[in-house]
Amino acid sequence: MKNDNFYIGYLPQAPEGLRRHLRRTVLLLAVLGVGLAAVLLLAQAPFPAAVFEYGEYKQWEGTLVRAGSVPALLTGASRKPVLLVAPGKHGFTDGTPGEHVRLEGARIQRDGLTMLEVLPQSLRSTGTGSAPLSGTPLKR
Amino acid sequence: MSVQYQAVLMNPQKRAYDLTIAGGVVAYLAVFAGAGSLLHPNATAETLLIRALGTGAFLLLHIILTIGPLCRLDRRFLPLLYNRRHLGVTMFVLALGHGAFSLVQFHALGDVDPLTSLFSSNTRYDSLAQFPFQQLGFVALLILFLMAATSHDFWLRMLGAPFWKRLHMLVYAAYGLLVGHVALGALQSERSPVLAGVMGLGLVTVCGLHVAAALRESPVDEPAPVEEEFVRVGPLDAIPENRAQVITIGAERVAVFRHDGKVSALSNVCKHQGGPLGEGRIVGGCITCPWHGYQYLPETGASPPPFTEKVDTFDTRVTGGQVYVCRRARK
Repeated sequence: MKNDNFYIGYLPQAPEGLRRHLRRTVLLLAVLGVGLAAVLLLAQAPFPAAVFEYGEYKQWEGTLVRAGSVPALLTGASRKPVLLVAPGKHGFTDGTPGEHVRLEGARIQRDGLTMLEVLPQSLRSTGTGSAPLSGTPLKR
Repeated sequence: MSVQYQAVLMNPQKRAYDLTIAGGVVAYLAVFAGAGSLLHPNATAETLLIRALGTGAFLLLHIILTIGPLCRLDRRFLPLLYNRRHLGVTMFVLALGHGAFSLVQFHALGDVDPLTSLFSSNTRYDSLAQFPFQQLGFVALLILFLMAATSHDFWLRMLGAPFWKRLHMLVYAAYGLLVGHVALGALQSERSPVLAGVMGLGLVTVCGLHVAAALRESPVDEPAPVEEEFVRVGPLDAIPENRAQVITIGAERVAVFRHDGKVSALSNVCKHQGGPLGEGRIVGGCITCPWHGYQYLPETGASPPPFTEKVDTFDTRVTGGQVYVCRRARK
């Protein structure tokens, strides 16, 4: 590097050769950054369709069961248990397994899995039975 | 010793530097999150932001880590180093945004507080595919916070340059943790080889440039043969006017400057951030560090008043066109 190309940031102006080099470097970094953003964006796996009916509580009816250690509702419409969760990421603790209940929940669905965010205090026991009476969500 | 806080002094170069950083960050986030919302309509805004902030911070960290070795290989990159701390703080802010959004998205509103959830919800340290990668990112973020919080010269003076330098070398630990964070996290759930390829390329670039810079400098670290009190540096003509030649005496690098028909020798290590004085030049009668422009008088090694820094100096002599430097620093 030539002596006259020496530059410190507090000096008034950088020598022209150095400025040209810096302009090229910054341009290259800008192209690299924006290009990389596009590449990373395109290389991501597609997001599966998902639904969170936030705040849209509907009536659900079925039998309380355990899916592993997670409380779930076995409805008549589908033999697959619908996982239950309290608002946020709190665990759902109301009711007892085997109990037939009616409750209000907001549907969360992703990758074929369904979960209900249960409205607090909405669970009503409708008796005990081994078979679900009805599993069709009822619109309010 | 008392240390006073002084606000960062702005100059046109700093303003241009900061505007360029801001423009780059906005462009990156706009492309990633803006175009992402069109390309991936099923993705939520929070998810796109988490990914945009995380990848943006990681890219900036790569740029920060390559500036040092690039400057060793080609001094024309030195203006990028002048305000590198601004890049570091920007990178920390992006990483903090990524971490905060992730903590809320994945750990808030649960039965335990988010930080407890972060460290207790996944403890599968024995699994590669299920490794708790978020914890690696959290530790890296703590390191980046320490560095961003102490980046001002106030902390440099308060902690002392050697300790401050060691603290900021932790950036390499943070980088290692973040490579693990990405490799054990995003790369486990994403199937595209492009993502692994991009990260591999970044890793190779950072490591490759550091190795190349180290190889380039290794001849300087060959200790000069010490037979007598004075060590031969080489011919006077080989040292350009107002510039230096660097030699190693024992374990110390010494910068030998030629100026106004005289020769002066000083420690090569700037008292500010350990910059290589021998790669600087004499400006206005003072040896000027190429990193941030700290200055020292060639004869005494002292910074001109009102500054108080001082580097070690060494006696010199020129005999038969050859320059010699005393192997002991002047007391």
